[in-house]
Amino acid sequence: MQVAITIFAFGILTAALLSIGAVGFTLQFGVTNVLNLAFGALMTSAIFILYETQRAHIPLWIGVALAAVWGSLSSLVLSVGLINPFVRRGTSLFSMAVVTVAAGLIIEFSLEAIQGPQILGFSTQTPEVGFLGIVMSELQLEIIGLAVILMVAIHVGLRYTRLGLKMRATAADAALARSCGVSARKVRLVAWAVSGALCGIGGALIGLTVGSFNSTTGNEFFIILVAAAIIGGVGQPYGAMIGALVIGMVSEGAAYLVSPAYNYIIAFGVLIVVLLFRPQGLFAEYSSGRTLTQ
Amino acid sequence: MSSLMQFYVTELLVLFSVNIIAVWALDLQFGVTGINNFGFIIFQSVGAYAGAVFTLGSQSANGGFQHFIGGAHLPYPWSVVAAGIVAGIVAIPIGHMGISRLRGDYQAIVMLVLAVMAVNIANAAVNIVNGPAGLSLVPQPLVQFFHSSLEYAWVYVALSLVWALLAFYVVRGVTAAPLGRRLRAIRESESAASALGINVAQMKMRVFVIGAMLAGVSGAVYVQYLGSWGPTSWAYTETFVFFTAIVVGGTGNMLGAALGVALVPIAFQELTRFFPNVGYPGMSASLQWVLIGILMLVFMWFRPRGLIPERRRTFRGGKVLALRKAPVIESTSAGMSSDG
Amino acid sequence: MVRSPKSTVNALAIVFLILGTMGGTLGASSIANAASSPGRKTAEIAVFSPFSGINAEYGAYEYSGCPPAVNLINADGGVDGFNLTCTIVDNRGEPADAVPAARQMLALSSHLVGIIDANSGFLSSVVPIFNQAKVTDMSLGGDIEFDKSPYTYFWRTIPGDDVEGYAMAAWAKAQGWTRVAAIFSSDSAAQGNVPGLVAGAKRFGIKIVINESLTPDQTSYATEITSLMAAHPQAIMTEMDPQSAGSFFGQLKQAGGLKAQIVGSSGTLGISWDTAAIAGMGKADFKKYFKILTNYSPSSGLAWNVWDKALLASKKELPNPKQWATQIYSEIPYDNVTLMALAMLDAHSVKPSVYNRYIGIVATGGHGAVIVHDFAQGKAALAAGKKIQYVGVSGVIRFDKYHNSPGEFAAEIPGNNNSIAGVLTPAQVAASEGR
Repeated sequence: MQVAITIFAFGILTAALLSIGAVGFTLQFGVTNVLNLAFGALMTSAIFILYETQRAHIPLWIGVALAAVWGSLSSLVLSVGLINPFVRRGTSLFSMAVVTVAAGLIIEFSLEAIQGPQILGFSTQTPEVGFLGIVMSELQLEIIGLAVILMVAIHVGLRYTRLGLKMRATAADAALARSCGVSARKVRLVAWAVSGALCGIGGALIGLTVGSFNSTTGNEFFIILVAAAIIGGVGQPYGAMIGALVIGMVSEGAAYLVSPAYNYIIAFGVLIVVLLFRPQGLFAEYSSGRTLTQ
Repeated sequence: MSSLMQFYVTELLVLFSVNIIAVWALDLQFGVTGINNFGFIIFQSVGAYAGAVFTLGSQSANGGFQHFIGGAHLPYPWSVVAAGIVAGIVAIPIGHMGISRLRGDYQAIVMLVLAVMAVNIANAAVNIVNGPAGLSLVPQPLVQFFHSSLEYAWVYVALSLVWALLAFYVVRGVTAAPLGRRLRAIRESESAASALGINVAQMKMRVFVIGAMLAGVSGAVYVQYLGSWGPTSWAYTETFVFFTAIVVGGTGNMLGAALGVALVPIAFQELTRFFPNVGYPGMSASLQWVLIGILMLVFMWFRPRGLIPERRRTFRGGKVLALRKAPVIESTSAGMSSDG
Repeated sequence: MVRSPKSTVNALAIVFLILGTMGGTLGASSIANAASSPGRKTAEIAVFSPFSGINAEYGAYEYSGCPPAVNLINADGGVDGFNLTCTIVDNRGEPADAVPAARQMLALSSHLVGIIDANSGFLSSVVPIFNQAKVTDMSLGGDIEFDKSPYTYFWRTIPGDDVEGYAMAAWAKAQGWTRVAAIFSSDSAAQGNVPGLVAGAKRFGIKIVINESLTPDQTSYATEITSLMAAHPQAIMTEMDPQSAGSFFGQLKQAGGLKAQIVGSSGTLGISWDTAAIAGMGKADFKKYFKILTNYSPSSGLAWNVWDKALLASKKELPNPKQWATQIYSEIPYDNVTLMALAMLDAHSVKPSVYNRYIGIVATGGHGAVIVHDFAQGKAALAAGKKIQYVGVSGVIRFDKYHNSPGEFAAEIPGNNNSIAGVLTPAQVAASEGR
């Protein structure tokens, strides 16, 4: 029983951390159809921003907010400065993926060049809270709380605001949305900005939780985010949340019940099983490919 | 040329041959047939591990430091052939999952995740291929017949070129008309192809497996030259080096792919080592990678169809039975599939 | 796509020509980083390590020992009319990149006389290349198969990865522990400690109460920690990367499990590890519970003073040189380069094919040899016609017939004053190995 509580609690923590980035990734992909493989490197840059704010003794949550702003701005710069020009010339999906890989390389190794190879660490200590036989730190509980707030905000935004409606329309069928008067350009900018903010927050919090990091940390977690997004159906924000929960729970459970070394492997195994029965993921409607929106 | 220089040149030539086989294989899957195999590196890696295991013999030889399944002393070239077959076998379940059910970007991402999963498994399941340490002490084939290492180095170059030539013929055989036309039809529009009676799923699987086998062969040739292979050598990002080679050189044609190989894995990566030493020790090493990324972007911007674009194939006239004047069908440039 | 085979072959031929010409013309250039006095020629010592990617730190450590040694050597007249210089060669940390890097280095260096390397896992791909090219390589790689190395030009002044495990068992015995936990991350370097630890513990009758292979860089180790605490060990033997250490020990402390001594292998050495662990468990607990069992070098004495002074004077080549002053993985490369230079002096040549065997001679000394602690002393003694034995910062070197020297071990309390909790003699380690 104790084991179940431990698995559940830390599963939720892992899910909270993954969900922020996963929703960001899937939202952007759903609306713009660009497979942004620089996402991991952007997360790493957000970790560095948070680290610098911590060194300057700025309060933690302001630091996280700054990481969000950084993520948003850098994603916008990336999309407007690099990705959109390529898309406008009719670059294929795969070449776009290669473009984002190149951008990711440039970001990751620029970070390494500036920072050096040494691993950096966060020295944030928060008091511990004990309940139901397990011990978690205040910070971990706050992270879970923030993730929940963000998920609710995304939900409210998508369902109840006009902008959210436009984003969902563009994600479902961009041409049709455009013919209904939805400015695809504006919607895409918002998508990049919002997903960038989520990327910044998600990345910064992952770095904070893991404790120490270097220029490769973001990419290490990026694939797991992508797996969560796939389980839920790429482009489906609610799906990404569920996907993150699945991966969080399964990986913690697998770590205890099987072996810690196999935790993500078994989570990926769940991914395979989901895909075998529902190739488009849990929430998506169809699994055929898409075009890049013009 | 001094002997040290010759060793360097032979090494580059082997690298070239190995990469060309891999890139032709990937171009077969992606450039010709339109399968988005972002997990391509798995097959080269399976081939490398197999090529190692089939020549390492049993675990207890070599001091028992390494743990792996299989293990044999296959004579050359059967170790390489067997490695190709193993890669082909691994491709079958992956193909069933990734090809028939998924399309486009889904397919791409799922294949990517599969590649990561494979690395994780190789790392965690220590007894399959010696986990994170990887396999080393892989013997060089036929080395006992040659007295000087320099002679052997050139012999190995010749061997790898022979494998490259074999790969060339295989790929050419697959892409020659009429089979090649059908594959390109699938790439351009799967629904139209299937309306014409082409068994899309079956053809894609076949090409996928053939491509995987060739990738496996490239891996085996590579590992028997390097002597070691481990999870660090096949991170999922390696697939993108090959994709970049195709995109830079030109999709859908073998010459373009060859040029891409000469430029990307070889020229870009080797020449950037000459970056002057700036800043703290090791900073230039990071900057080299930044330079590689910039070079990739520059090439893709100024030459989006690659340096040697695919030849547009037009069909004019010819022996069509139903119509007197044949319609003119032009294929569009590579990779621009609008559905599927 | 289908061109005639002839035109494809032609095109390929052109590509090969381009590659060949590139190789030829680039042969003229050099990747050296020269710092020489006028009139003397330059000879290179290459630092062949990862400088980018996940193991980029190894390169930083390895390189930090080189400029101080080389600056001392050049200030004292160089070797045989040559100034030495340190060159960086980035092998990117894996065999597929290391082999081309090695070949390129050998082909294109203007005058390469020695290599120091810090690699692990793929030594068997690159050492044969160095050996065949007859260039001396002094290595910090722990690959187990090199315990019995057949390569004349390969020298190693650290123990193989398996020997450290035996040392950990010997330490456990010396401390009187009977219940010990083994927590090592799943990578090969860390896992390399486990067999020796398990075998040595068995030999001494010590129980390994739990043996966990940790997946690195997880956000939560809750399940592993629960199992660990349930096993009630008296001490935890460990090696893992800094990132994982920060998470793991932080969460262990959070769960109330920080009660046992933690003994890290030499793989836990380094500023990054200390930073991460302190972030996890706080400075006080870190100093209280954590020891590093590693090759020992006291931070005092003549050899160390000379090293420290030379290091701090190397500001031009090394940013913030102070950070390396008590790091053994900086001190060993410094000793290695000094050893190579003394061997060159004794052999009256910078050619590795001539001086290589003198490395063993200069390190071993023998009957009637003068013990020297730095390059200047060594040079003076050799000039006076004496035999020398170089005992540098990292202590006495005893090469066995496979050119391996394990060194002494001590349990260090981490921090910049390097105080120790005890020393392990080579005899104790040998007992653990059953030798």
